[in-house]
Amino acid sequence: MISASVQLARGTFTLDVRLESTAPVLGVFGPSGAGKTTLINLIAGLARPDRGSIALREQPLFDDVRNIDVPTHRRRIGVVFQEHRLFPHYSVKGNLLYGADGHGREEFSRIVALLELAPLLDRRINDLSGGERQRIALGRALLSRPRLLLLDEPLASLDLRLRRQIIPHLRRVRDELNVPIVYVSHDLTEILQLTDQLLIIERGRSVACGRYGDIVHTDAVLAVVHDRGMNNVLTARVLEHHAEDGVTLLEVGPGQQEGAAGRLFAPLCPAVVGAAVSISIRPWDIALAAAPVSGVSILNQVRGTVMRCSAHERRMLVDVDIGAPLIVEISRRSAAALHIEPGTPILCLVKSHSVQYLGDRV
Amino acid sequence: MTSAEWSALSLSLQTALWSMLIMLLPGIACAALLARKQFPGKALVDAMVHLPLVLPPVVVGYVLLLSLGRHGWLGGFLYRAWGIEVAFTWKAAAIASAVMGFPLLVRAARLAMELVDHRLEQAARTLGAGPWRVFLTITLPLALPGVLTGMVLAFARSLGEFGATITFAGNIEGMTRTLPSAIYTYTQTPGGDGPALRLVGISIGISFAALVASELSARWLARRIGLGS
Repeated sequence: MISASVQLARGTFTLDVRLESTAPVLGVFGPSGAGKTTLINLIAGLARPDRGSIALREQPLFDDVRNIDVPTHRRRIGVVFQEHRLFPHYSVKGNLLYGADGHGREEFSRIVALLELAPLLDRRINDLSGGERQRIALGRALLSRPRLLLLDEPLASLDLRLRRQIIPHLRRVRDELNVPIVYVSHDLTEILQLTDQLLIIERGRSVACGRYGDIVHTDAVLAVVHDRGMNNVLTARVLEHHAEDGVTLLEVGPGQQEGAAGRLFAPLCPAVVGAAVSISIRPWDIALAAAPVSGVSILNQVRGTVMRCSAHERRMLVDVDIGAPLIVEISRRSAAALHIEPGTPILCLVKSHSVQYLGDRV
Repeated sequence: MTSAEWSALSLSLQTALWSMLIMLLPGIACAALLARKQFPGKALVDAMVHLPLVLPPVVVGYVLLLSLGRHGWLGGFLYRAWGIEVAFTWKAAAIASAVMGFPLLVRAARLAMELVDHRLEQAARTLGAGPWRVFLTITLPLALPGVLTGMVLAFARSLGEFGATITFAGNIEGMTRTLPSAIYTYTQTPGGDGPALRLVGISIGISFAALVASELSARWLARRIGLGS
């Protein structure tokens, strides 16, 4: 859908990024200053590459060899910026309709309903909260009927509570509107709640592009990701709350064949029984065991199968299928002691307090 | 007030309004150009625009007279082609005021446009707005308080314009004798102190009212477009 190969030099900073994606959502992850926003600007046409080409659905937007440079306003690429960039002299409705071509009355009601904007329509921009502003910015971009949606750290200026409110809206946009999304963030957990297709960039270079579970096994990606919030994000269903014990029982992943497999205790979470929720577990908060362990405080011993493992300088990454893929980090010494190799049945030991509730999946 | 004083007052207001009309579009265009575009010779254009601010007004008036007078290159053409005479008419007074007020309008408007958040213009472009639409719906409305301030400054400058006007339009009672010319004339006439003082009072009153009105409306506009608190 989107393919780009762009080079740009600005002072001491150089950008040289290649990307190719057909995924509904491509997550762009990199540390601050990696060139993520520059990449967004290049795709949107707000900055011009020195060399390279950008194409959307096979249509060239930029090509220095063929001398093509479609101006921003003809690219039909919607952008939601880190700061909302709403027009202060327009009402909420005026902002939403700014890029709409006038044919889209149904479209308008649809987006307003999707993002729950109805109560905000007649408000003034200055009177809105950060979360409301970002929702309106998202709606405004969608109403311009973009062929691609670029989201540049749309949650960076929001607190945790507001992030939890916005992510379900983003997921709805992903699932209900047929607009491919490029989602830029320095927060991997945030990206993984929307997609597992990633482009990793660092210091202006693309390090890798592909499925998170695959590329994370390479040294180059691990070096970027490991100390910057490497995580497992899983979907789970709330089975029962044990308020007196302070825990909630969850079922991970779709369709479990074995009874106990894929069930996890987590700290008591505010979701209702039956609700789908997002949870995260850090790879180094999981221990592996060959046989059930008795006499420990760890509540979760989840049965799984080793799918893949990779050795790195200081650690071993093990993919375990517990109904959903789980990346586990252990020392190489432990791995050797346990004789871990693909196909090995294994138990994942997870303290309930290592399971973090990220929010409801609506 | 005598009819001569009334005529000076109404002529001044008429001249100032016309000069405003003449300079408004070129002024905004010039401000936009200087605020948002990079082009070769920009410094030169900038200097040209500001020239009337630093030149002696008499020089401006004389240059206008040389080019728009009946024997000037442009004035001669206008006269031969359509029989239009500019010099020593109220039109000349309006043009002289416009030229003198132009830099004030451009300066204020340009400053206001430079302060408009460029990122909002970028956002508009991503929403499909071409350069004209971006300017008319984002840049100009957000710069409006500044443009208004510039207009009032230029208007007040017009009311006070003396040197260029008297050189280019003369000091003909009922035709080109504006407030400053009238005041000057009265001060040169025995017993003219009374009327001169009255006109001085009126001048102060109008200029003061214009400034207050501009301040209030700029604040109101800023609130309206969501810039103020």
